[in-house]
Amino acid sequence: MTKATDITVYTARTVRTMEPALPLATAVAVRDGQIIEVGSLETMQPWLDAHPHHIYDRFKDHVIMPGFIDPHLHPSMAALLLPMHFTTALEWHLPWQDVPSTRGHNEFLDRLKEIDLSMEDPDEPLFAWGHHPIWHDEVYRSTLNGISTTRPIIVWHRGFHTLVVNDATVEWMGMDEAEGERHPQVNMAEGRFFETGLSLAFRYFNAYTLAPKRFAEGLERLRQVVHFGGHTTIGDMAAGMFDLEMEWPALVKALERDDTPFRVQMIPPGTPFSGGSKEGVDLVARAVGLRERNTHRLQFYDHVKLFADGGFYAGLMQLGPPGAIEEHHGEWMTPPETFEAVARAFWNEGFKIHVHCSGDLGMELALDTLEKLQWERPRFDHRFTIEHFGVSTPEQVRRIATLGACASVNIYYVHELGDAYWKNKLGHERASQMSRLGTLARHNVPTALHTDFTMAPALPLNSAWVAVNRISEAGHVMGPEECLTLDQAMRAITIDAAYILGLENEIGTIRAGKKADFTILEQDPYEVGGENLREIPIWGTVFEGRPFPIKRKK
Amino acid sequence: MTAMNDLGLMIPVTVIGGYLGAGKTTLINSLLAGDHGRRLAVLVNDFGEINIDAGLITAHDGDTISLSNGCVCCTIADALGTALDKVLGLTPPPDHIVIEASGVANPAKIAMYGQGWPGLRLDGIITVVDGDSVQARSTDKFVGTTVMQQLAAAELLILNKVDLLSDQQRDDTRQWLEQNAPQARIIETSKGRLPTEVLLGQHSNGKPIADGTAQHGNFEAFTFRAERPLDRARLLALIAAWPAGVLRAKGLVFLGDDPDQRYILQLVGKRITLDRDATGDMTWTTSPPKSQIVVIGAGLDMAPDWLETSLATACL
Repeated sequence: MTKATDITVYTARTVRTMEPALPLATAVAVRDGQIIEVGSLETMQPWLDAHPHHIYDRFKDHVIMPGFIDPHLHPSMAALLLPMHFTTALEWHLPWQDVPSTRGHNEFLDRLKEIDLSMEDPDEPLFAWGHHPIWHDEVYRSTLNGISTTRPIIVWHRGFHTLVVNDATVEWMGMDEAEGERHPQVNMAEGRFFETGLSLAFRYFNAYTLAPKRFAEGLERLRQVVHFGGHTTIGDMAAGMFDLEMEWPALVKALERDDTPFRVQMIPPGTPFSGGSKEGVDLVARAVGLRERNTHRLQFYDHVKLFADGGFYAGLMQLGPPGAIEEHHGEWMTPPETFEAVARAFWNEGFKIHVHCSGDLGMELALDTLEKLQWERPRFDHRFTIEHFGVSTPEQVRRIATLGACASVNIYYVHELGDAYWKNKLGHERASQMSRLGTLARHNVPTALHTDFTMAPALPLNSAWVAVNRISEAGHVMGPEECLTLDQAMRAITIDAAYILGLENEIGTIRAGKKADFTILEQDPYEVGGENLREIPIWGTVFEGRPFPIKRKK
Repeated sequence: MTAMNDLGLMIPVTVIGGYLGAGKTTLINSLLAGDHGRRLAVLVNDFGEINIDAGLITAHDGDTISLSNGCVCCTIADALGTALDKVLGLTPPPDHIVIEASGVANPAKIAMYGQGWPGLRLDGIITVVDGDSVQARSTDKFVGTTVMQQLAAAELLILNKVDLLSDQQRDDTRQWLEQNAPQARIIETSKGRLPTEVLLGQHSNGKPIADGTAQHGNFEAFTFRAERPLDRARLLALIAAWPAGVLRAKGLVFLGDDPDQRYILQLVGKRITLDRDATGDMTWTTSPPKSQIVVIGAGLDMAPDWLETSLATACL
């Protein structure tokens, strides 16, 4: 029987430490969840001679890497979505299911029929997420009545801004047809709710989709998804996005468990989504106060999230010249003056500020603000981070470097939206340079990859694969000059992601003194190479010194 | 005249938009504290700048402040729909809901909630502009487009802070607004001082605005009554030709081509609606058929009987 204070030595075919000073090793010694020494059984012998220890050789044919980190995803959004059925044009690999690619109108309807038949309770509403007219053509109320006249069917758009329902749903909602017909963004004949009309639908759905039991099941699925991707740390980059007081107890119950193999850095929004006060002083006090509720795995700290322009999937980013192919209306999530005032309040209190920026004009606001703050009260090592990085200019990247800022990039835009934005929104030049990682690397800007899950699959190796290859869903290479090297991509899901979260002293590489967080791979990414990165099987993880294998799918 | 709430069973919603600093909050403060006899529910983005006399506050429960005049002020937080349902659930329900759009929102988009939410109907969209800065803002690299959208959404455009402008600047700004928001009626003011009737329309129980002309500058109200039915086409044509100083009109209409049904006429800025009573079953059974229309304007310089004369020609 091994005691907790004994040293455990993990031996492996290869330990990829991600530390340039000692990149390769064959053994890691761990005690109390902390790395004692990295090297070989021979080099660490003095530790082993001095203390009780045992050798754990289960990974002798595996590759040990630092635990993967996604610094920006949304557990609560995932909890809402994961209980739904995925009917996406692109494949999704989930712990309980490999969701096949569904393309074509009839294929989409067949998929709905298949889901309908697979559901045991004939009255359970069927929520399907992933419809997109580009792939599936339009569906209408009558189309869905063709699937079922008794089961409520709700088809939600991939980009979240439209949903279509059948007759049974209208009945289930208890909604008066005339009520819907009055709304300018509801079309009852087509069963369609869009933009502001969505709120009307969710007024009826919320009681079901956000019911504590269903939300808890969603969080349990999220817990599995995070582990399945090989993560040992994630950032909840807008903690409390629906309602913190509703979400917090649910998050603690679902995730603060002995068998949860990851931690969650909680980054609260600095402003309410609707705008918020100009001064921001109370907002700082509120953000500081949140730390009192911290648990072992769920931690608020000195990081905060601000919002510049609207979302990239929703097409609400603010674009600088020359705009878009068709008329384009971006939105500001925060008025620029408010943004500056709130950023100043947090900056002056020493916070690390993460800014949601989708378009280049949104980024311009963030950088103009940062420049002012640097002028007023210079800070080194401030970790001001541009989040998402949809559209940007090369000059902005240079400015990011000059101002000492960082980047956390959603690279999946290139894969999923590359062709669509080339053809319908931006043209090829700018669509191929979305998420411009190569330029960031050339300017030595600390850069992480994130998924914004559920915007992209929470699979770090998949993100790294897109970063290295920039292959769109249609198979086009989008902006080869903006690719990362394999090593840069692997850093962006380990040590550079740790740096973005301000945790580089604790996690992100394998070296003495850091937490024993590992991702255990069946193959070595550096041997497999960039092209097949996303195919590498993950055995599981080690979190704070305890192994957690990933359960195989049935 | 029966209260519109009872008539339509729909609570009117007015959206007040405009960029930061235009004067929305001043306007809202005066609405909340006003002696207008209406139970308003005002939805704001946050309480930060709402300045309510502590003596007026009867309750404060986090996101809702209740006032002794029957008004409530509620924060939108992150969900407008939730806030709307909250004030709709009040007993008794409010007479009128006012939504403060965020400084970067397109008020037309916010108005879609008012238009489509169960139990509500859109009264109008008001955009407040800072006369001193609106032209400069309209070319700002970040918010120029947003400001132009806010102008384009307006039915009533409140040109605020005219006291800070020279006569020349005032004329220039007004002309510029007329060009860029041709769909809107423009009202000039300073420090957001405007009668409630202009902002929210004539209330059934409100005092006639004419009584307050001294207090409210040159705002005037005119009333028209007729027991003979009106011709729909002629009525609409007449209204469309009313002078630019007419800001609002509201009333019940007895139409010759649908004589059993009560109609509601509403004019906000230049937008005219003439609809059957929304509940669809309100006929002239409880009172004899009669049209009754109130018009509110500013600087009209019209004879006291102009409205009677104008609308008389629409009588059948």
